[in-house]
Amino acid sequence: MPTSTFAAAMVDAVVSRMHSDRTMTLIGSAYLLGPTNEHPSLNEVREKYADRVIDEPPISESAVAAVAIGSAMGGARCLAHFGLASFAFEAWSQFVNEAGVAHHQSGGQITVPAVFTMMHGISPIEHSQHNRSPYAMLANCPGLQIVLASTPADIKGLMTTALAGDNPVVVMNHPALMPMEGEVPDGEFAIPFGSADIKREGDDLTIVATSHKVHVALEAAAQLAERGIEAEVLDPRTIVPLDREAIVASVRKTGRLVIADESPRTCGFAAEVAALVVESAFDALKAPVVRVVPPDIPIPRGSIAQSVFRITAQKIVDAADVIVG
Amino acid sequence: MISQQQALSIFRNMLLMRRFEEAVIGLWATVDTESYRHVYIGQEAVGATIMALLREDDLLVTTHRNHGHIVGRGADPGRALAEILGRVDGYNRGRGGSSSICARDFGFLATTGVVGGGVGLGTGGAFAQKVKGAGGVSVAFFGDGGLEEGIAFESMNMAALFGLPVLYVCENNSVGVTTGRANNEWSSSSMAAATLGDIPRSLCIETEVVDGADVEAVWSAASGLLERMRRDPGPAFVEMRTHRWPGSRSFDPKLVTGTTDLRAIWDQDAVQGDHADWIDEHDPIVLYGRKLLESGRADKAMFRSIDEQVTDRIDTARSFALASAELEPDSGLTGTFA
Amino acid sequence: MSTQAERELSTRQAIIEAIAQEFRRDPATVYIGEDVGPAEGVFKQTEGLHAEFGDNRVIDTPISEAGMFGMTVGAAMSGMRPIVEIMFGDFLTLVMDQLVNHAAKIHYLSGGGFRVPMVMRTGIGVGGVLGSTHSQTFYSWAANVPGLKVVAPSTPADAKGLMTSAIRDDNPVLYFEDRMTYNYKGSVPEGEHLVELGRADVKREGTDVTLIAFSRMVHIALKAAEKLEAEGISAEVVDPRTIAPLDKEGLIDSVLKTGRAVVIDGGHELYGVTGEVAATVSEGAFDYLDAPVLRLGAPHNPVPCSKTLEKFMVPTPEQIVAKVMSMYG
Repeated sequence: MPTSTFAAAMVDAVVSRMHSDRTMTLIGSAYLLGPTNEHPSLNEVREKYADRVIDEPPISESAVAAVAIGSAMGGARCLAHFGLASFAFEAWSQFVNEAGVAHHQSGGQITVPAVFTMMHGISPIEHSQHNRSPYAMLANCPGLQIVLASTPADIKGLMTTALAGDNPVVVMNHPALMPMEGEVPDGEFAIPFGSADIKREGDDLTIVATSHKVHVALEAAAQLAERGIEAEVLDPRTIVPLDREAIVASVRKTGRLVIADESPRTCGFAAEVAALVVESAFDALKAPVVRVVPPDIPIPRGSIAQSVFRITAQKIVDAADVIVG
Repeated sequence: MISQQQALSIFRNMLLMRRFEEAVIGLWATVDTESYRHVYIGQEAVGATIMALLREDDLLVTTHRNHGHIVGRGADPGRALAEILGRVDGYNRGRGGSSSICARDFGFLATTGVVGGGVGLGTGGAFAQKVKGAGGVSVAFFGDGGLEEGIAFESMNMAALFGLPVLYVCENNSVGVTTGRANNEWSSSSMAAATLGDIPRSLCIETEVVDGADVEAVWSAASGLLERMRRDPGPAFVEMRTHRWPGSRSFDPKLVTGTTDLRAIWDQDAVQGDHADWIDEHDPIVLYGRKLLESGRADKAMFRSIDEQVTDRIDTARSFALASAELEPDSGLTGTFA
Repeated sequence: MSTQAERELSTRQAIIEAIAQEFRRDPATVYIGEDVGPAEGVFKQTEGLHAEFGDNRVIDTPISEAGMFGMTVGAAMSGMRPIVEIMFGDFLTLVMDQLVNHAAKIHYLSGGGFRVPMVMRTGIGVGGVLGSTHSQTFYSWAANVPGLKVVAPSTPADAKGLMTSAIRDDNPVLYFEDRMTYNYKGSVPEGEHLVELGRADVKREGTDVTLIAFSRMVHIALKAAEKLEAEGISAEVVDPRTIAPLDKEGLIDSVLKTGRAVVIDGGHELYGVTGEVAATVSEGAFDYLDAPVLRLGAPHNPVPCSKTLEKFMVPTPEQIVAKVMSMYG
C-alpha cells in the first residue's frame, strides 16, 4: 500500500473534492497545514479554481466563518481554515448560533455543508495564547460534528466524508501529525463518522486516546507489553458523533480504562468518556477510570514549561500501573 | 421607472404585509402563544419594493423582524402564521417561531436571532452566487443595531475585497426614537458615525441613504445597485430610514394605530387617533396610496378591491394556521443533523 | 455565613442587593451592559442601580459584546472592578476570544503581574420560549478554560452571597443566573453576605442517594426528593454552587455516604458539566458505589422556540425519580 504524510493525505481529499464538485469553495490562508505550510497540489487548486477560492482573507475569523456558512447554505459547500483553534474563538457565534442550529431550527429546510479546519494542541513553538484544545466545548453544542484524526488514512477518509456530507463539521488537527507518514489506500474512500478504530488490540486495559495522543498511547502500549500487560488502544476518530458502543464494548472486555486526551481536565473530552463508561459499563469496571489529561492551568510557552502539561507515554504507563495489578 | 403593474403589485404586497402583522397581533390577544414578535409595520415600502426587484434565484437573509420579508417574497402566509403559532404545518415545523421563520424554497438562507448574525451569512450567500455565475445576488436585511456588531464590519470588508454581490439593506427604524445624539436625528442611538452610510463608505462600498417610507426612492436606489451588481459583482449598501411605528414592542406589540384604514389615503377625516401624525406623515401604505391616487394609477375602487383580496387571503391563512395540528411534545428531539 | 437579620427576597432582588452593597462599599466597581441603565435591564435585573449610582457607574453600551467585554478586561487590569453583563448566555460565543485568550490567561502569563478582577453576569435557562440562540447554557465551556471561575446559584441567598464573593474575587468570575428563578423567593441576610467560591451546599440531607444538581435543577431535584421520600428512598440534594473550581471533596463525601448518585443539569448532557461530576465522583468514591453514577441533562438538539417543544429540553422530577429507581433493581 502506498504511504503519504498526514498533511498530504488531507490535501488529497480536499483537492479531490474541489475537482469533482464545481460549486465547492475554499477560504483561508496557507495555514491549513500548519507551520509546514505549502503543498503543491493545494496551490494548483487555488490557482485553477481561483473564482471559488478566497485566498488570504483579512484577519476576520467571524466573517470567514459566516461567509463559509452562508456559502454552504446557498448551495456552494465550503471548506474554511482558521489556522489555530485559538484564532477561531472569534467565530464561535457563527459555529454555534448559526451553523449548529440552522438545520433543526428551520425544521429541516436548511443544510450547512461547511467544514472548518484548525490546529489544536500543546506545541512548543506556539505563543502561549495559542495552545488550546477546545473541541470538548464545541462538542457540547448540538449540530456540529467534530473530527479528531490520528493517521494519514483516517484523515483522508474522514475528510472525504466531511466534504460529502450535509452538516457543519469541525476538523481539528495536531501540528505534530502533519509530517507523519502512514499507509493510505489508493483512490477515493470514505470513513463514516461515529466509527471508532481499534488501533491495537489487547485484553488487559483499554486506552481511549485522541488525535496525536493515539501515537503516544501506542508507545505506552509497547512499553506495557514488555511487562506482559496488553493494552487495547481505541481511537474514536470523531468525538461527535461518538462511538459509545465501541468504547463500552472494549471496557467490558478489559475492565480497565485510561483516557489520554489534550483538552483540559474539567469538562474535557475525557470527562464525558469516563462518565459514559461509568453509566453504561460500571459492573465491568475493576478499577476507577483514570484521565491522563492536562491540568486546569493555562499552558505556558516553551518546551520546558510545557513538559509538565504534555501527555507522555510515561504518564499513560504510570496511570496503567495504578489500575492494573 | 415603476410600471403601472409593478406599482399596484408593490402596493398589494405592502398591504399583505400589513394585514399579516395585524393578524399576528390579533392572534396574540386571543391565543396563548408567548415569545416575542417583532412586526414589520411601518417598513413595508422597503420590503415590498426590494422583493419586486429580485429574481427567483436570488438569496436572502433576514432577522427576527422577518414577517414582512417572508410574506413579501411570496411565501405562504398560512404556513408562516402556523410557524408563529407553533403548529405542525409551520415552515420550521414549529421549532423556530416568530423570530426564525425560514422559507428555503423562496431563497431564504437564514433567519437569525443574533443581532448582526445574518450580515455575514448574506455575504456568504453572495459568494455562492458568484461561484454559480448566473448573475444572482444575495440580499442581507438587518437593522441599525446590526451594524454595532463586529461581524458586520468584517463581512462588508470581505465583500468589498472579494467582489461579492451582496446588497446590504440596513433598515434603520430608529428614526423618531429619542437618542442621546443632539446633533443628528437620523443615526441610530448607538453609533458614533454621523450617518450609518458612512461606515460602508469607509470601505469604498457603493452606498445610498434613502427615505425608507418612499417606494419610489427605494426603487430608484435599489434598482440601480442591483442591476450593477448583477453585471459587475461587488457589494452595495442602502440605509433605509423609517420612522418607527409607535406600537413597536418586542414582546407585546399593540395595534395603537388601529387596523389600517385605507380611507386615510383619500379622506383626511379618516386619519384619526393618538397617532394620527404617524399615519399621516410616516405610514408608507398611506403615503404610497396617495401617490398612486394623485398620479391616476389607482382609484378608490381599486384600493378597495385589493384590500378585499388581501384580507381574504389573510383570513384563509389565519384559518389554516389555527386548524393546523398542535405539535407532538417530543417532536423537537429529532432533526439536529441532516 | 452570617448570623444577622434575614428577610424574604426574590433571586432578582438578592442579586441587585449584592451589587448595590458592593457599589456603595467599593468605588472601583462599575456595571457595563446593554439597556442596563435607565431601562433597568430587559428582565429588570438592574432595577434601581442607575438611579442610585448614575451614568458613570452604570454604563449602557451599543450591541457590541466583543467590544464591551474587551473593554471590561482592560478596565479590570487597570484598577477597576467591573461587572459586564452579557444579556443572554448564548452570547458567550461573541466574547470567546477576549474571555479565553485574554481574561483567563493574563494573570498566569504575566507571571502574576496583572490581575483581572472582573465579573461576567449572564442569564441562562429554558422556559421563556426564546429559542435556540437565547436559551442555551454553556457554562461547561467556561469550566473547560483554566483561569476562569464559574458559579451558578440556585437560591436567593446563594445568589447574593456568590455575587458578593464574585465581585471581591481578584479573578475573572462568570456568574450564570437562571432567568426562571428570578421570582423565586427565599430568606436572604440583610447585610454583607458572602458565599465562598468552590464550596458546595447540601440543600437537603439524605442517606440513600445523592442528587447533584446545578442552578434551577436544584429545585427540580428537591421535588424529586419529595417524590422519592414517598417511595421510602431518602435522597440527599447537593448544590455545587460553583462549577469551577468544583468542590470535589464535598461532592465525593456525599456519595461516600449514600453510595448512589445522579447528576442533573439544564445544559446539554453531551460534554456538559454532568460528565465532569460523574467522572470525579466515580473516581473518588469508586469502591463505595452501589450503582453506576447516572446523568440527566438536556438532549442534544437546539432549543426549539416553542412552548410545547422546549419542555422536553428540561429535566423533570419524574425523570430523576425514574433514574433513581433504575438503580434499585
